[in-house]
Amino acid sequence: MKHKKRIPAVLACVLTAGLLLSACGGSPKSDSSSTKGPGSSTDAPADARAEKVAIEVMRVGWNTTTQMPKEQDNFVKKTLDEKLNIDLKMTLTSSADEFIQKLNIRAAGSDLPDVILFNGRNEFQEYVKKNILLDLEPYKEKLKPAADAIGDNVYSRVEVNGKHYAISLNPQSNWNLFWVRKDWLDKLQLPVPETLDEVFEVAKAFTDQDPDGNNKKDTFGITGSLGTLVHLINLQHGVADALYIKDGKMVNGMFEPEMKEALAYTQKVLNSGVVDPEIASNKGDNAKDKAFQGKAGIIISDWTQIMKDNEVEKWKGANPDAEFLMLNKLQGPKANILAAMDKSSVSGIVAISRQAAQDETKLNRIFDLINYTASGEGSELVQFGQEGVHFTKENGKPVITDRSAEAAFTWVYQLAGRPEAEYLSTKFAKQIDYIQASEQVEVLDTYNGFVVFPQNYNAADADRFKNEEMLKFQYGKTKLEQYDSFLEKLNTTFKYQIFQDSAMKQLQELGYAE
Amino acid sequence: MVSHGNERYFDYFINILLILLAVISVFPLLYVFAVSITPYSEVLRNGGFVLIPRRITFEAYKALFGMDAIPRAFLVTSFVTVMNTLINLVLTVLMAYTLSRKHLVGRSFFIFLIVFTMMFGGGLIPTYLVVKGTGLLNTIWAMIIPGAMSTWNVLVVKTFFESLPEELFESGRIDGAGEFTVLLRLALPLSIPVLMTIGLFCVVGSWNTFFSAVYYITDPGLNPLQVIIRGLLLSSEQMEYNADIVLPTTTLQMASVVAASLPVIVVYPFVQKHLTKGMLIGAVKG
Repeated sequence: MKHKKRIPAVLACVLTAGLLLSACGGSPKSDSSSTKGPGSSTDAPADARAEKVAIEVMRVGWNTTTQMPKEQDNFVKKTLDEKLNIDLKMTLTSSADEFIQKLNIRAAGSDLPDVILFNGRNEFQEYVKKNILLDLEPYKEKLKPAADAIGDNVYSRVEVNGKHYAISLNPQSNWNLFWVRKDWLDKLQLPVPETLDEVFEVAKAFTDQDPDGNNKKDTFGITGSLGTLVHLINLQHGVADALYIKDGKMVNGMFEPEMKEALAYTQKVLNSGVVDPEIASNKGDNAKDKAFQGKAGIIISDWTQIMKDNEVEKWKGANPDAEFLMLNKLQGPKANILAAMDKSSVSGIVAISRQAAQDETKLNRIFDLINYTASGEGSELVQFGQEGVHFTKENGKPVITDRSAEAAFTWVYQLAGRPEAEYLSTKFAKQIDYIQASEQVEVLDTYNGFVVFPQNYNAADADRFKNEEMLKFQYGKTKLEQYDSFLEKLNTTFKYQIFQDSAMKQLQELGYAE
Repeated sequence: MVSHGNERYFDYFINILLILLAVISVFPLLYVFAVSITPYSEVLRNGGFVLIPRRITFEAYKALFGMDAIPRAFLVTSFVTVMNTLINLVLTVLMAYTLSRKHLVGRSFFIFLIVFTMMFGGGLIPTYLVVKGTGLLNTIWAMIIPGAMSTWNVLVVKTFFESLPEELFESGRIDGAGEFTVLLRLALPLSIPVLMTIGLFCVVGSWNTFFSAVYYITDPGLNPLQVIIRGLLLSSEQMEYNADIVLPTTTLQMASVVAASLPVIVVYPFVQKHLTKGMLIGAVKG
């Protein structure tokens, strides 16, 4: 039995290989001796590119992730690589969840990208706590061009415990406002609403008076998301679920008497049958689709969702007579405010990993990159594309050409933000009226973003409780008389009082509150 | 005695029930398909709901395949699917056959080792470190090698091999066959159903490759289909509206869903008869 003796050996070999694989490998062969940069692991640099520095930037790219051109067609990368002598790699994720998932794993594997663009303040603060982001204090001189382009509060908006770990990008202000079907107003011979009450009167007419003329009662007044509707009603009562200044004093809107009035108003509106019955569960495009389909006459949205060329094409295609009118001025029962923005709000937080800073040359190139995209030709490149192809200059001002759609992806390279007003008026020249009109909106300044949550306060739990209970008030499931006892429970059981006290103290220290 | 009439009514009842069930199952697919071939304005005019399109257009598909990312992603996913399935089958068969031989020295020890991996895994981050340490990070193999073998499949195939009559193998050996010949000439031809079954699991699993790509791949050129499709579907779900982003239309989203699921739907009928046989493995002990 010769065979029998050989078999175990063969089997054992196969087994060993198999075991390793099924267990996802044993201990890896360590290559820790080489400290190669993360992006460069696959394409070993040839001699000619030896001095080129590989830089990896990671950010959320939304669906632009799927629209990136092939590397040979990517003129932004080519130009940046050439000008700055780098090999730039953009790592884009298609959602914020995916971004943080990917980043967490890479952080655990100490394989962070060189530049990280956070969208959320909380995630950024988490990473500061992990001590893997570079303190920018010693490098402020080098980042000066970018900081100048962004503005005075470039660091202060994202300060953590008095330290500056990131530059912040200026916020975008696309307010959610009421948009009314102008053609329906005309058909029912109604005037353009000027007060909040009138908005809901119009909504009632849209619900009852068959504005689409199909002899069926198949329309309703308002759609959007419940959050934005409640927010607008609150603001029109001069209150917001936030920290803001009222009569020279910092207050929390939850504790203001106007909050109860706003809640009563919301109850009335939600029970009057003019609001999309699915408003509390509308997601993403749902509400917009309803408005575009002609099911609802008023939608709460921002100009980008209604007036961008491809959106106009959608609703014009469904109904050529449709016309949307933006209400950028509205008198509410207590105030004429239509938007709230946090004083600290930003559109992005750009941090550099400490790992990247170990290599002096690399760090300098990263600064070069951020500075280059902050102003001048670099800024124009990441805003509009190539001069002469995607935009031309008229009297020194950029004007986009009909090939500008090919440059739709360039925004992912905006690492120092962009001059927003100029950018929008160039890129969306047709929509300029709406952009300017939405800039005239009365805005309430809020201050929540400056507050770092106190240690023994569980924000997630408190918020969940708060939102659930508020929903019951909004729909009238809980009587308003119980609002005070709800606040009491929020303050004690969910320790909202601790947050409130700490917030006031912090804002005092920062000089925002007295 | 049950009367014939009653029995017939009962049959009708069951048939109607099954037809209803079939309709319910087909309905969403039909909806997705119908929306994907209807002009978007038509979809909006119909309140977002279309089952039988009046006008047909393949614009959405044209747009879909006109995107750089889609054909590339199809290639990546196809490669991953083919390689993954091949590697999986070869390794699983070798491992399972070995473990199914009762005279293997330390057999129960090896079985314990692989079963152990079913209950305890290293977790995400250690796995990431292994993938990184082996240099697989950001290569197409990162989507293939870490899942090159499934313990569960090994056990299924092992059980199947064990159920084959030992006498058959003995007769083979008497005729002078070595262990490999026994495996290739005797065991494998008898195991087509089980191989088809786990092969199909593999094909479907690797066609849906998603997480390994999210974790291990940063090069956009290596993104598999499902990652791209998710990007298309998600963008309208939960983004902070950014003036620069052009949202895909529902029709485009639906077209992407159809394009991504069609290959698997096409493969299924061919494998199905083997699948039902394969499902019975281990169900009846003979």
